[in-house]
Amino acid sequence: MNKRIALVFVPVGIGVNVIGGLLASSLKLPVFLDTIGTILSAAILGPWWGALTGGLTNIIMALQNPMDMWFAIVNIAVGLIVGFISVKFGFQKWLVVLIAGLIISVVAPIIGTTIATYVYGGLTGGGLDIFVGGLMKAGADVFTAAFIPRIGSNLVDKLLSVFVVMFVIMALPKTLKGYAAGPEEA
Amino acid sequence: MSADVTGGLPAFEPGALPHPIGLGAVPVGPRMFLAACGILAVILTPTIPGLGAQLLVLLAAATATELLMPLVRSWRGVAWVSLSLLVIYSWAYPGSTDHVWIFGVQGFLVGLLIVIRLLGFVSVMYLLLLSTGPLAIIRWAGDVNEDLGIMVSLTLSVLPVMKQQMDTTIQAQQARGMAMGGNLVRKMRVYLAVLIPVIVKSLVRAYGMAVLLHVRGYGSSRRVKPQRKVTSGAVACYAGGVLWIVAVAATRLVLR
Repeated sequence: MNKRIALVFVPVGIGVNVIGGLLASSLKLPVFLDTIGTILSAAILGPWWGALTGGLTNIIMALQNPMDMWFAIVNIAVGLIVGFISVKFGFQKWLVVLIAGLIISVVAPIIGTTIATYVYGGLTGGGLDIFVGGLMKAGADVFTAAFIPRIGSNLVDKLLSVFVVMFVIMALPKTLKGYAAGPEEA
Repeated sequence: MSADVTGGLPAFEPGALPHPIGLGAVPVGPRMFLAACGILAVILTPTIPGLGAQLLVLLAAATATELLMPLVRSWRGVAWVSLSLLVIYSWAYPGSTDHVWIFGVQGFLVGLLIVIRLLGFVSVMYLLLLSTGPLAIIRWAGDVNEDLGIMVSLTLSVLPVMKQQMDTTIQAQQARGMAMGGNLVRKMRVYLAVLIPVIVKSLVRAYGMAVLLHVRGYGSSRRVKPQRKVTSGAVACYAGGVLWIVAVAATRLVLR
């Protein structure tokens, strides 16, 4: 993949993140699905462009809501992890995709919860806060209390996202698959 | 847009709000530096009085630039989480030893610290955004790095196209009998039936854009960066940022 293709694929990845999240919320799905573009860019273009897609998504979203900037680190980490996996193994085999999904569904909430605990004290301002408070009252530390509700939704969210990307890559012409085609074909 | 085009009406200029103390003359780069220093200063401050003092300085800066009301309105975005922090931390914080009814004093103070820090972050970030404007920040990104500028510009032009593509795909799928509601599995099917065609079409269109960039010779010659004058406003921003950090670090050392 040459640089010019990467320069136009990154904006599409950012657009997919935004549109994917918008569609998920308009369908009232209980997951975010707002990292599909990052995963797609990382799988096709590799880790650095994937990380750039993730980081830029949050920076552009921050032009409307500056507090989105904090979670750019999560998106960057997702891009790096998927990118390195795709460069090494491609992104078309279901086992590779499953492992990638499992890794990011653990790493993303660890980073996300660390940020959320520092910036927001682990709370969201929603009904889930009572559950977090209940865990704290039961003796859990703030990080653990904030992490437990996030891990389940992240597992579903990230596994769905990676498999959506796998289906998209399978539907793409060979010339557009990049690293996702696998090391022997890239 | 000139006055002739608008028929004598004042033209709408998107971007930052006007600056009564001449902040508009300060370039975006130094403002970003000052904001970054502000974020770092808030991170480095571990006490309620320290954070409160910085919040007061930010409010004074907002008052001086006539941005106080927009800034206070921006706090509404974190109002619920702030309230939640005070209540939940008072009720459930594990380290509380002194209690008033069911609320712990130590938990309340930890919650208050997080709320003031959160308001500090929100204030610094919104002051930058309100005083600079998204368009100026995007232009600045293009000045810093040409590739970054083209990616941000393309993103802003691609987003409405993708949104329209999504609406068209939804209409097409509904015409084929797809229902938008239903249980979770049905909703996931709808999601995939809409999103996958949008992504594939966008990537194919992007490939066309890459060919266009190649044909137009993008990246084949190095762009000469315009020389920037160092203004007094820029120097003030850099000095202010450094002073802010030094003051916070010195206070921490003195209080240790």
